[in-house]
Amino acid sequence: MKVQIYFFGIFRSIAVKPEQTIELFENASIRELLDLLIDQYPKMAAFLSADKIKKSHVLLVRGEKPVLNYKTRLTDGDQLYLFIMLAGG
Amino acid sequence: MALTAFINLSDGKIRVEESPAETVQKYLGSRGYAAKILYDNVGIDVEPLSPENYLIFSTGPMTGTPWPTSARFTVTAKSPLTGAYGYANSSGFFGPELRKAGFDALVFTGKSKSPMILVIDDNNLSLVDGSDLWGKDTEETEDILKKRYEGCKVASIGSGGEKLVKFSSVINDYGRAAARTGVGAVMGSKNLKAVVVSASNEVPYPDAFKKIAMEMMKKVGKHPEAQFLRKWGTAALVDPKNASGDLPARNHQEVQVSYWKDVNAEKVDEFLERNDGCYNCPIRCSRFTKVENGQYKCSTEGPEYETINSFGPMVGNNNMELIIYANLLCNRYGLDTISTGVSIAFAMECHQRGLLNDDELSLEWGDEKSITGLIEAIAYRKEGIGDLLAEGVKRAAEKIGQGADHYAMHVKGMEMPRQEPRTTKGMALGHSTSNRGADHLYALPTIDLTGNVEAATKFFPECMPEILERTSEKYKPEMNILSEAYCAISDALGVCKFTTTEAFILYPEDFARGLSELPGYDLDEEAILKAGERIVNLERMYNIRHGLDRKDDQLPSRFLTEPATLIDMETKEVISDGMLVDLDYMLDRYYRLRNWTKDGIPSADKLKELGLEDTVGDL
Repeated sequence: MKVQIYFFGIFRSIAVKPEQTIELFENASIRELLDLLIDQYPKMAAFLSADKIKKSHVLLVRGEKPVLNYKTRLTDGDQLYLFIMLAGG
Repeated sequence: MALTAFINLSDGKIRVEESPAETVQKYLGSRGYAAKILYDNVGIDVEPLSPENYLIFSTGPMTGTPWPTSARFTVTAKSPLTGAYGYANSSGFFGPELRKAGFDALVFTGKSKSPMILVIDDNNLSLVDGSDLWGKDTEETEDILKKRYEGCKVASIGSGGEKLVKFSSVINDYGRAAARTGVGAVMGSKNLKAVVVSASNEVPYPDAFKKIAMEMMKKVGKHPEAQFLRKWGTAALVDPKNASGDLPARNHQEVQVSYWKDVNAEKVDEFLERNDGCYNCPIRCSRFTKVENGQYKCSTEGPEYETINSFGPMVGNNNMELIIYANLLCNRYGLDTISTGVSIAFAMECHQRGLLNDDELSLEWGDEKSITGLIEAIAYRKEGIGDLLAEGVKRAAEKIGQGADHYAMHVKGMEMPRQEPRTTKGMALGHSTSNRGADHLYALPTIDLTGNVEAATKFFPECMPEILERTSEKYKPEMNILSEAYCAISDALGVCKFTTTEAFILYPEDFARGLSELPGYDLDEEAILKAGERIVNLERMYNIRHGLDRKDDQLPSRFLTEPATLIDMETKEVISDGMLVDLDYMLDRYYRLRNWTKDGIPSADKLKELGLEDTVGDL
């Protein structure tokens, strides 16, 4: 299956592109997607690796809703948005 | 029936009238109503610190009601910092008490011969002598007044306002500040030391309104953003901002620091006494801290992110105890923490560049004696550097000359809040176009920063997904125009922006629904957004009348000419570099979308469309 991921901020700088189509095994989890991203872009490990993601303020949005559980299974055609979450001040 | 009180401090006469309902409703209330009063009464010939200026305390139709976060009130005046439109907004418990006493607005004019206090007991108003409190800080003042008037709420000024420091604030409930644009100095110029209010009734509202308010209360309380703010407060921004190059340091010479762990939320937690909240707030983001020992032994409300940056990285300091102490000093003296920190950073960079020295203070980055010494020097306008910085960085730079203006981080004369324009382009535009000078809360453009795909898709489907890229100028005008209107609505109704533009926990349609249950209001989402746009345009026209236009919507030159570099803080590898702001691109589009001219002046058609025909004569 294929999912579309949009990169923002640091992730866009690291990937040097705004979006990417990623092919995954059927029923793959979000954690598997993140591991694939780390394989392709090792600098993303500082934010996306399993031991860092909780403290690195990563926000992954699937459709319009933030992902709260990285074991969530993806489906073909999913659109995902990857940020470091900031706010106003 | 809500009231407006006119208090002439020159002759002591007080007049209380029923508020003009149609005008209040047209401008929603609070910030909007006060902007209309200022527009109609304070012209270009009025000096901000003269008796002819107005000082307006105002509440919104939701202030003090069961609506979630309905704690806010506004203080409006012509600003001594910008010479144009000025307002500051605060929270806590003072505003709800004022609303419960029945008031839409208190309008102060004139100047008392001696220090005075306005005492409000329900709708009985009296001016009493405040000479014994003049010279006391806001904490002592509030302590004394609470003993004199049991159960009252207090808003007062400290030495900052008394000494006419141009960025002095009005402090209420000890640690809450109507901080910006120098409204404290206007209060001081009138010899008004404090406003004391006690109310015995609740704000009236229909059952149907309460039912919607309760629904919204649940929605806010369980929202993940609310839970996050409750746990960590805005200090939680330090880590991601540092990673993203949005933690300005040493007067924006850098955009990240190596010592972020010394100034982040976990460090604040080491000093945490308790969490608390403002009136009727389910978020409860306020964090009270205590330094147990040493030279900075103290306890205070805060510090929030803006103050952490202002007295931390911005001045090269990594001592959290000092940040907490500086927060306390500013509250006691009645100084805006943002403007104070930015002024100190300006002095330190001027020293670094060989433009400024002081006999007693080193002015070196991070020098603790310089930081506390300068706060005190500013608060008391001590001869020399205190008096210089108390004027704000714009005027200080003009006085120093020799290119010092390049190091003065301000827009329209007001010091910049603690975002980095080169890495957050919506904020760059927001600081620039804000009608009260550099400000993160005039637009609070955070749809991109918070990754709010839901809000972006609802309002800007044609701009998706690029609008969510914080480092891109594209579509930021679209985002900011919506946010400016929504911020105006929030301030006018009397609610906290944590439920609105910060996270879109509630949408404009939610407010339209609730507001329409209050007498005199009948709005849908389009109409309430139009009301927000009306307020922004009215404030713009106040500034146009004072000669401000595109030339004043400018950022400090550093952000247009000195590229920023973002590095991985662990590996030190460069992630991106060459980051600058293309402000002209954003301004052109922003003005065009607003139906303003290329010079940033509203068109007559736009003003008529918004029901602002009365202002066309100022074009």
